Amino acid sequence: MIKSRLKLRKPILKFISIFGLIALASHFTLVGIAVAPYNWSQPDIYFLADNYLKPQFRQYWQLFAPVPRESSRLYYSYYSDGSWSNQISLSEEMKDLGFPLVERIALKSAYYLALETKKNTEINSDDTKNYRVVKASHSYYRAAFVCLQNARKNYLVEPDSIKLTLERDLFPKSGHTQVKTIIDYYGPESVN
Amino acid sequence: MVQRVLTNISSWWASLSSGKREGYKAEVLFSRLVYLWILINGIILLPIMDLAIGPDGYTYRTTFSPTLRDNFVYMLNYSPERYVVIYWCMMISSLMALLNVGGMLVRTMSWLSLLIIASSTNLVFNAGIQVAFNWAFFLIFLFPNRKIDWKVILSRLAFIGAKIQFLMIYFFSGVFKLIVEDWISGDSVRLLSFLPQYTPDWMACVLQSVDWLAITLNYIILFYLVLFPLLIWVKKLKTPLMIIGVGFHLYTAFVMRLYDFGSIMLIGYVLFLSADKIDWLFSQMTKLPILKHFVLK
Repeated sequence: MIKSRLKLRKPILKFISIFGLIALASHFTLVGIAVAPYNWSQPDIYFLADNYLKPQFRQYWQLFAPVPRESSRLYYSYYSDGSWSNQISLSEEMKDLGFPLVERIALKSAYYLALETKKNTEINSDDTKNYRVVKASHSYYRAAFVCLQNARKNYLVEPDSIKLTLERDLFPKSGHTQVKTIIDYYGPESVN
Repeated sequence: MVQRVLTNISSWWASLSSGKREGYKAEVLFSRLVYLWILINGIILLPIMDLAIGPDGYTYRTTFSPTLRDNFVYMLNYSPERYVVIYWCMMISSLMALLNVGGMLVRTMSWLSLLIIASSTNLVFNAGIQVAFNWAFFLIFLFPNRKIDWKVILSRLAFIGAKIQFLMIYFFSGVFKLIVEDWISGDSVRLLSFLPQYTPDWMACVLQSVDWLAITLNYIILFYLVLFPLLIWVKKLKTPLMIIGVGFHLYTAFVMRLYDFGSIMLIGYVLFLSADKIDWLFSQMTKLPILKHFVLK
């Protein structure tokens, strides 16, 4: 009886092993396609893999590639009761809360906005800039939302508009110590 | 060489499909450390929970997605008032999983709640949480207290999955660096030193004044990441590789202040520890009375 049960068990265990290995191989093939550089696969295969990966297994491994070339700070002012507030530093406000994780929110809001701006802005040799189109981007709305929440919490107002100012210290490749500060203005934009 | 590889593969296959397992301490230690990481980060999140994921928090509200899956994972973007339930679900299920209570159901709840919280805290956490929820998925199938054959097979497959996930992180982050000019030209570490959020002043001074150091570090990191998935299987190189890696992640955690990413990647090294090193670790850990009772339970 025991012998026959053991005999039965062997094929089942083999089946589980084979099925498990196939599942594992399929999972990592799709993960590999989705996280690899975009031009490594056909667009339709990439789309399939990306659809499988997001959101439950999402991952991005472009860590510091490329290395950020700028340090950015976000400032905002809000429009309420018919007037604009003074410019407020988001990172200073977050620092005052005393939690390193909250400080990251200010840092990342500025970073993503700068990244979006960088994609859409070309700085010419005479320091003029080509026009950027970032107002409709997710990073813009996300940054504006963080500032809106801070205005609500810290000043007990319900702003109609938020104006963002991004201060960017650029480190050009030649002459690393040279810091060039660029200021971008966004808004006023309705937050509602 | 080829014959040896084939022999190793066939003996590994025979061992896997037999449903037997000799040493399983690495799996136990790895799963406990991942759940401990989730708990510690959960505790760090506790005082700022309402700011990070609450209704008045900084999570940007997006519109409903057409798919059920997205609506479930991004639940806190649409219904932030559920944040307390999701948070405590994550904490309790991770604690139970750490203590090896509740089985697959508890581990699935831990993964799902961590995933939901991770999806709403993009601005708070970094890549560490992505590693954590991907590993937490494999841990659903890892039974530290194995007695039944199919559970042994699932556990071994889950452990392999966690290993491949770790190797993929290194490989692809290396590949992306290889196609970027900053890293190829040896300039990236020096460029990073200009960013105060990643490099403290004392380290920036060192890296900006000693050129060769920044360039050497640049290439060590680059080749380490790309070659690690291959070289880790060479017995003679394993220990030096792991020492470099531990140093690298300690730097990431404490100097670059990316402590969540640095610490979860350090946990990943448990996946590659040999049986005798795991035994030594266990013997050290069981000296502590608090750990003695549940480390090997």
